[in-house]
Amino acid sequence: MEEGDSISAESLSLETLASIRSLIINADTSDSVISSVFDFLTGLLSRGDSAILHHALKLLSDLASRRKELAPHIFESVFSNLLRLQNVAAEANHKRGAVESLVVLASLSERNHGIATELSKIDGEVFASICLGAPISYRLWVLRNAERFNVPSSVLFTLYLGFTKDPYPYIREVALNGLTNICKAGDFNHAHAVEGCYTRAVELLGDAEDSVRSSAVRAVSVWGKVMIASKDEEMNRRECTDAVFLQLCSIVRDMSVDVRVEVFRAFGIIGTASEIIILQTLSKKVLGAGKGKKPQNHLSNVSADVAAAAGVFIHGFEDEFYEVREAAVDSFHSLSVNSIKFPDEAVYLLMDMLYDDYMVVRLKALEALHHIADLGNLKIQETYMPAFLDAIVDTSENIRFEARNILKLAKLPDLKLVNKCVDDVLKSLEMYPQDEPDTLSALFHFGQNHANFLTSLVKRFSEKLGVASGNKSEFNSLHISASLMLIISAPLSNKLSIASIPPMAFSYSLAMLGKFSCGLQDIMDQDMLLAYLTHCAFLSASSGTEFNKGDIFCHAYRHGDADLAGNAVLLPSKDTTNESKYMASEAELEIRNQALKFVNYILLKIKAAWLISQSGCSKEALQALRACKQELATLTPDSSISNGALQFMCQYIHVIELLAQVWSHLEYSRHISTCIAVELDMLMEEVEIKLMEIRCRFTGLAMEVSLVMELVIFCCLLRLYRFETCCRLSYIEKLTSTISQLELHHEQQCTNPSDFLTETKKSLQEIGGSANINLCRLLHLIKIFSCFSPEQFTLSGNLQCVSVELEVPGNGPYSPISFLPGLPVAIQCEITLLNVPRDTCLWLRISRSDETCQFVYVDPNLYNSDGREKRFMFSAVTYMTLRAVMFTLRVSIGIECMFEEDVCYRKRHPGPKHPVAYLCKEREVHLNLVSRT
Amino acid sequence: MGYNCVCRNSHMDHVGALPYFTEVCGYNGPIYMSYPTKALSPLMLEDYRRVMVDRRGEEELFTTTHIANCMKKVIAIDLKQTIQVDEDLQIRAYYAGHVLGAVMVYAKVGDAAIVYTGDYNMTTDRHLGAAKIDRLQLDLLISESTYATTIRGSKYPREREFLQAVHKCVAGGGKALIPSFALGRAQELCMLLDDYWERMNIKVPIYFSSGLTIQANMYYKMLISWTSQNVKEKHNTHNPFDFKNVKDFDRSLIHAPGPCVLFATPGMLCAGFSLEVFKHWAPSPLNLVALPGYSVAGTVGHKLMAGKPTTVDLYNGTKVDVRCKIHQVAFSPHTDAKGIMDLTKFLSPKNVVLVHGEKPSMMTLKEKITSELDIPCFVPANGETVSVASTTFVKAKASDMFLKSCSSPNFKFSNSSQLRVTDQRTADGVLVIEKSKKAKIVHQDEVSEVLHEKNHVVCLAYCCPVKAKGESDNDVDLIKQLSTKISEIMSGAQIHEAENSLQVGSFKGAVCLKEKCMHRTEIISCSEAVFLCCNWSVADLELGWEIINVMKLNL
Repeated sequence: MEEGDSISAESLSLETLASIRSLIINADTSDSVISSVFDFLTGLLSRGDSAILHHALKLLSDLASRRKELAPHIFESVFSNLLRLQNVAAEANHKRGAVESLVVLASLSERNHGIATELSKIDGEVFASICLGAPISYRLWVLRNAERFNVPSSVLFTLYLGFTKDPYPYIREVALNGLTNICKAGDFNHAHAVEGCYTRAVELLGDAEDSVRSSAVRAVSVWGKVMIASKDEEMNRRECTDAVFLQLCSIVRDMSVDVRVEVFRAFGIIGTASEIIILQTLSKKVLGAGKGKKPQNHLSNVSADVAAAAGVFIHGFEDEFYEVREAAVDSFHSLSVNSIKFPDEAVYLLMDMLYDDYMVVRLKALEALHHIADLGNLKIQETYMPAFLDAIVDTSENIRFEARNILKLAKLPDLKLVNKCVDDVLKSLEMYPQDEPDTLSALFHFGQNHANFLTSLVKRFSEKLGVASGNKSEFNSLHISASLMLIISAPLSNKLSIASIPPMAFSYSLAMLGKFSCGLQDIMDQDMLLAYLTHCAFLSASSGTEFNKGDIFCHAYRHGDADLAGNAVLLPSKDTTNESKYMASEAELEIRNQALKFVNYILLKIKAAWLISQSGCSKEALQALRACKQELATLTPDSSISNGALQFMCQYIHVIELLAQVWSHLEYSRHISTCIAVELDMLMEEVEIKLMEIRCRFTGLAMEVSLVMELVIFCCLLRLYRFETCCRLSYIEKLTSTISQLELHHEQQCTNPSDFLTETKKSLQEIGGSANINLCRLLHLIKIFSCFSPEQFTLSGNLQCVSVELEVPGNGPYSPISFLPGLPVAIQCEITLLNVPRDTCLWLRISRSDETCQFVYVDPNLYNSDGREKRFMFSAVTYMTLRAVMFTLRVSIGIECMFEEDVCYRKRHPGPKHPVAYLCKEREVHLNLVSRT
Repeated sequence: MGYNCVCRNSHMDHVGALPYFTEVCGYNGPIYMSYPTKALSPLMLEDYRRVMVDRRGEEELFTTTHIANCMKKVIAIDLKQTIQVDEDLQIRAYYAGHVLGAVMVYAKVGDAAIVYTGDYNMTTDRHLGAAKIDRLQLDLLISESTYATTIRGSKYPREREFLQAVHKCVAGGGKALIPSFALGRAQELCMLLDDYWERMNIKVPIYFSSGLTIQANMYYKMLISWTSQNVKEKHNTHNPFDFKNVKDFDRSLIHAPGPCVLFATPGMLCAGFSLEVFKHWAPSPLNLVALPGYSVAGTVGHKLMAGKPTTVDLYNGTKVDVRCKIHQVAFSPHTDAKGIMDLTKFLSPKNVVLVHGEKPSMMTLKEKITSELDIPCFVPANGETVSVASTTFVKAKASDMFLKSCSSPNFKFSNSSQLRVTDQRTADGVLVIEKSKKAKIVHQDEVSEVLHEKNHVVCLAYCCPVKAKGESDNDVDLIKQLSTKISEIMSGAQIHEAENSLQVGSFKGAVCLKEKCMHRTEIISCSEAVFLCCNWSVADLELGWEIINVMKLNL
């Protein structure tokens, strides 16, 4: 116990220190000894000897990790000693001691939650003076760990910027990395500081050390990006982008691999450049137009010539190192996202990359090609066909997947290529049977895209079918299913008469329904497919006689669509993650309502797309709308735009997309072939269901109500114009009630009704009065529908999306619910509701595989509490028990859409009186007969 | 470096005369080669000797023993290995691409540093990487310039054209002859074909005619570390130089039916086996001759490339009908003009010398280097001497004070149009070179002491009229009045007042009673106005003028 005191400070040897350490480590040392050890060690701190200070700090940090309760005291004494050291003298020993204290303090506060905030006691001034005074070896540590301390970023910025001038390369590198991190954290947007930082980073692009150059490239890209964003005018911004881009180009031929990789990544970050520069990057020869053109580059003295960009991507693509090639392809992809017009040469260059030895490079190239194909710019030439076909039979699953994605969008110029392509797909299917669902889906799309060649394809495969039908064992083979899939996709493209397909093909397809619906699950579900196939089979057999309206097809579709209701429309694409990452990190720098600005921009695009579709270019319009969806997916909900608003936008674009598709069929004539009529009918149904859903699922709609209602009116008009002579009255009724409702809405909101609304109201009499519909008038109304006006989008923060999660806990194929036939059985459901308003009617739908169903009313008392999210258990009692050993039921939850304009149509049945919009996917519930034993 | 020899690669135009040089001329200094060059050179030299003597019957310049003895003197070096040849000369090798074992040489004599590139390639090919060098401080860069005006496009289309030409030929039942050098191109093209054969599942045989190529292949398989990343990584599973579809050629196969691909030396169809096969295969329109790269004027290869001849004279007077297809393979292991520019830009040497090329195109490139990169460039003819200035460093002692101030950073930020940072550390130093003394760097504060001179300070002075004469002429009031004025406009300024003077920082102003003050510019005389005689130091330059302006407003 006396040990601590018995050591006189003078006789302190390493042995004594070692024995102190053993005392600390030993868990059995009594508290009193420990406390005297603590006193002794803190006493040592104040001594001037730096060698002892080093050991004392080490021992104190050991002590703190063994005895947590002492940590705050240790922190306190080390900290006060640090301040003392700062004030004493500028001796090198003391400076070292200061840094060592800093190390101990940082680790202490990170290990002990109790003193986590204490570290902020070290203010910017103390930190800066330690950092400036530290010997070189310690300086590196201080700079690298600066972010662990709560130093104001202005101090850090000054320090980092200063140390980019350090003679030691490692310090320059760390300083540059620090600057990059500060920029990413988004704390700095002072114009002078940004430009100064950028200029300094540009200077260091010429550093002799590889690692400094690669850090400099990173810094140039992030600070360049900020600098570009800070420019007010579009003109300035573009000039600035070009200047940064060319600056990066100038170092693309660096000898260091890391630098080259970073440069290509940086291109991706900058993301865009003038077309002339992009063109130049694809050619090593300096192009005529680019000669002598020097974008204004007042930021650095180096005159940046477009020639600097010569062949940048050619070099990147033929680089020795796959890391560079990968980065190059990736940034190429990013550039293609942002450039509206991307030259064909670019596509050829990418195609060459499909031969790369490295899987990752090939994959990136395919992803980029997929994107270009999505924009409709992909023309696969014969030269490149082998590369593409190789990808289809590649050993890597990812590559095959991407290649099939491109296949879905590809357009091949002649029959020879189409045949070759189909052959290779069949070969791939043989080699990798596990890909079957996706391959089938790809063939389905491929078939639709190549309607011209389908006649011959049908001929080719019909023979095969004929052979196969005689031989039962072969009937199920992969080849047959694939060729059937190709054939049955035909009727969906309007250029092929259904009559040329043997009815046999459809009936065979029915036998493979499960397989097919599995492949096509992103387009349609099993019921719809079934309906489609039976319908086609019927049509094909009767070779084109008029079909009977109201057949099973539409019913099936109605059911089927409810399943899809909960599905998100959007799939996140590659560049979205990339983009949003940067957006998030630099969010502070952007103007606060940047997101809203972006949404407005998308709205403009939608409007443009609508106009395009009206002018007859429906394909382009659909592409534009699809691009809008993708762009929307890049947005992340934040303070300026809520998640609900984003979801609303998504759904809205989806409706417009459907309407554009309807329009493409409508534009030619009123009298169209039956198979198009079917498709049109399906589309209209979908639009109506979607609209109903939007109206039920979103709460807090402000001006958007008028938006949706106008769409409902528009749909009614379309219906009246195109189809429903039989159901005319009900549509007119709906039209009238919707119009009056919308007028009421405008009155309440004190807003002006749109021209479309007033015109429609005026002609209401004309349309509905006479027995014969005034088609001209209708068409006129349809044509003046202007989609929307921007003020109809308020996208307020209140806008929320209703969603539901349904689980049947503890149920599964191996743990079914027991039942007795004929007796009711209870299904225990766990329901989670999000944003469900108080006065809604929720229904639990329980259905059997034979489409009989039962609705169970969900007691509102269960969920009418306050709060956004509600979770409760609900027992649904069903009487639908069968005389079977086991069977499955499907349950889902829907919301009853009680709109004034709808006429109750289900008066006699128990259950909802109004249509139901389904809020979640169907869950399967497994039931099992109680065993008698 | 007159007494020292570095062989940059194993091609005959670089290594061909070496045995003659050492064994016949009697050169005795050290010879440096990279490991692959040392391995491949004897093969090349022996082959050369045999062709010269055994086939053409020319007089032999050196014998097999010469070669063996010569190779014994060679010192092998590795990449980036620095060799201190003697007290002054230091050399280091960098990877150059071009051919297996090719290097660029960095040499430093005293403080002067040069890089001699030898042949190099700035883009990677199937089996070799691109040239790789550090960013060095150079006085001179000597670069090859074989393709001083050519700019090549992407390599992929060129490769594809070649493959398609060969494929088309063999698919049509023809025979493809690829005359090539034993080293480099043969392996490159063969790898390309082997891969393609594998991918397209072609079963047509590929032959190597000469034993030399086969021997070289053996070395290639061993020297994997000198190849590109792609080959290095692949060779873990399969050595890419173990060609799967390649077989040895037998003379009897020349007339064998059916398609085949044959690699035969020499490359320019000037003699030897390739010419012999050409004689037999050229008359058939099914066949193909793929000529890689460059052919010297006068060779059959050159004649074939120059036009589309129907007959070609062979050297011994026989004529051959040429009905076969000719394909010129458009890739070369030499860098193109853009590559030379890129390397020059990357290294930014003080001077450039271009060698190994054709004069007119070299002049064009010289023009480009001078105008675009602003680096003096020379194109010396053989035997011409070029002198360039070289760096010499002066060694200087540093004073303690300067060293101390150097040990910690001393940043200065200026913020005029954008934030700029400078480190004052070295700027604080002053180089003092006195006669008969060693140079010394001292801190700027020490300069006067070292030079035994007094410090001079620059001051500004201005006698400023502050008030019209006439009214109450109280100096104290005036000073008070001025001081409030100044503090009003310049907030935060610390003003000290005295009876008839005021002081802000280094700015001092006192009432001037002189009739004629030398700091007075105005013509107003002392009787008309009260003057304040002001002086301030340069450090407060702007402050001073600001105060003057304030006081003038008072007038």
